[in-house]
Amino acid sequence: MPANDKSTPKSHSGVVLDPQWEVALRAGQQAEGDQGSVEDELAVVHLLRHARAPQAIDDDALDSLWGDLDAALDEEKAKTGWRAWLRRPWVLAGGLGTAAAAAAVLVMVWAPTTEGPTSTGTPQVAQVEESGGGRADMAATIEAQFAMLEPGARRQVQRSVEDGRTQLRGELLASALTADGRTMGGAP
Amino acid sequence: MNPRGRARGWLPVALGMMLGALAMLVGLAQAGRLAPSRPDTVVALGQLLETENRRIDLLLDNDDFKGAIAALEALRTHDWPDRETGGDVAVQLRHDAYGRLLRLRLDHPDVDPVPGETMLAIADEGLGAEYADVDTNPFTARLVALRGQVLEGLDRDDDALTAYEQALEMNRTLLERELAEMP
Repeated sequence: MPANDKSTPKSHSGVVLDPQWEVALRAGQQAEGDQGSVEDELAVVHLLRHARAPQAIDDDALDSLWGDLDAALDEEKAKTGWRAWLRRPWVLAGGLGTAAAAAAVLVMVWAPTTEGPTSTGTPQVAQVEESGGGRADMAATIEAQFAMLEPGARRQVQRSVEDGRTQLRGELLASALTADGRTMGGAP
Repeated sequence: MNPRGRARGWLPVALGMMLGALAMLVGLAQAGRLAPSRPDTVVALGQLLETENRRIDLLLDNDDFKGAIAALEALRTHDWPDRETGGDVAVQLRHDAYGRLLRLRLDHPDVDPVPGETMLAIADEGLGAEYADVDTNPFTARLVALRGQVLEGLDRDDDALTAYEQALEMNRTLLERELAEMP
């Protein structure tokens, strides 16, 4: 603003906060061919005006403002929070690998103490296999492994036979139901 | 896209491929177990062997090794179904019976003795031509190992070693399978 500007409003208290002062300021700027900038001065004036009498903000603008703030906060959390660590591939792969190794150790340590053919047999089979030395011991080793695997295998074969029996029973029942005009169940 | 972002993008694809490969292996393993085309044959065979095994157990409890060997020798004359008719189950049942017979003959060579060549013939007869195609099981592995023991008695050490290694490989497969099925 030029120093010899006669249109400058009086600088007594409260005048600069009058909206008419801003209108006059912009008119003066326009009269001089829009030279210079009054935006900085006006920003200070707006701030002073808002401090004296806070202006209400409408709901839509407020929601938009909070939305922007939430987005900015989420983005910051995503960069630094624990979820960001979970998204890193090496953390995921390392975690899965550690969990698998821990599970394998638990299985090998605890399996011999639990009951059942699978859990009791497997670690012992591994021990027998490790103890197998030369050819002379191989036959004994395999026989020992068989003794451990046999109960489970025998049960599996038994289940297969039972499945066949169930299938046969179903087929016989179906053929009896579809029999037409013939005697059924030994009736005369 | 930066390298980290690209790697993150490939991770689900890699996991999907691993799951797909696992499902394929499970499917192939299931497909390897041939189902019987005649379930009635398997049921009849299962009942027969259950009864015979109980009888043989009783004979062994009474130290009647000759009677047990005779009962198992009698089973050799049974009309065993082939793999196509009885599936893998029928072959496993045959391997079980022949394994018991060979075990008894090897443990009691003085009872109703037979030459080593006859023992080898029993092993080959029990295994059949299709034993390598049967889904891996303890009965087949044991019979293969017993064949190796018979070969060792015939001073065919290289053949015996091959049989032992084959049996151990089968048992190793069974071990890995059991570990994989553990919860």
